[in-house]
Amino acid sequence: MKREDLIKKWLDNELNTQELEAFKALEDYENLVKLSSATKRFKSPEFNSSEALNTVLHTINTAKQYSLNWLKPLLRVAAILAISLSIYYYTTNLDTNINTLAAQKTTIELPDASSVSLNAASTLTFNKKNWATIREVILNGEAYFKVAKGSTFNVITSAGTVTVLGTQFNVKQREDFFEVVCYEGSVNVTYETNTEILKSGDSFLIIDGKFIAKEKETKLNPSWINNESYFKSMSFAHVLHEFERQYDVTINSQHVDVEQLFTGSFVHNNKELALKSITLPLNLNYSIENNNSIVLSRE
Amino acid sequence: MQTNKEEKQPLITVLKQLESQYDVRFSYADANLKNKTIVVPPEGLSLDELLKYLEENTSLSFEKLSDNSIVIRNLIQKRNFRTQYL
Repeated sequence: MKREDLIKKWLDNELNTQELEAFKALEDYENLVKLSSATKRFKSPEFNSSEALNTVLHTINTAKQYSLNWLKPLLRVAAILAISLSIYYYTTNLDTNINTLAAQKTTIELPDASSVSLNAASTLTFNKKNWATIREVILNGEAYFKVAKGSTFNVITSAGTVTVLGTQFNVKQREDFFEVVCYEGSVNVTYETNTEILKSGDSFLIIDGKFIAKEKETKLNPSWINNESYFKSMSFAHVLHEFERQYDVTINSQHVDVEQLFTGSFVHNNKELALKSITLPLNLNYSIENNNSIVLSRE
Repeated sequence: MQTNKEEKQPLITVLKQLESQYDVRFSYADANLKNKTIVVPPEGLSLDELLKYLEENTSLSFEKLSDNSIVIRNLIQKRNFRTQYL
């Protein structure tokens, strides 16, 4: 038997006579016996839990009395005031951001009596606080503006800036497409270094950096306001992109000539009917997969 | 209209006038209507009569999708002209 095992058994008083002999034969036997008797004197200290509890409770009670100190509550009030002030300052100076998702439209009242209708998948940003001095909005997408008479009103887009005094107009900025149509009053369009003045019924259209002349607009407002998208001699690709935005779908058109020009419209509230009105004229078939994916093919 | 009623006019121009007259929208591929002309239809036709008139005087089909949406298609399938993609 090993030495360790012998010592263990000895400590547990489990040695039989044979093993005891072996144990006594160990060279450090005497030291082990000494050590064992010595350690028996160690004792864990007495611990009085109820007395300890009393001490703790006493400490807590005395601490409470000290909290009557006037400085702490004052600091708390000051902190709350500082936080609310900074939140107020932050939010009132923050730009207001309005977003529409695909298949979504919204109308917003601006701080003056002006209103903006935002078409699907568009963003409008403006600052309420500075509105009295700067009437300015940043547009990404398409919006129809009815601007109240007053100081200059600017619509800034990545393609160009539209400046008006008080009028009704539509701005559409998508991919390589920038169009402004004036429905009432007059509108200044700044594109790169050129500025053009549009009167009621006039349009300004840039596709892929090229200016496109358009006929006089006879409608009183853009068709999308009435839940219909209308196109006059637009590339089929442009029509499909608008369809994707209005119905929140993706269209696979890889087997179709998307350069050809389309004239006509599709409604926003009937997907099948809308699909027919854009595919039938071009002799195309469509199939709807997974409800939000549409594949076009030639007849 | 000041021009002679018997005189042919570009189909696209005529359709534009008819759109506001009948409160309808025509949808078409520009290529199918290019260079096509038509005599302005007589006044007082119903919408169905108008579509029949247009079909008879063009080589196109006028299909009513809804009360105010009309699709114009080429009657002659242009299969021969289609070139393969890719």
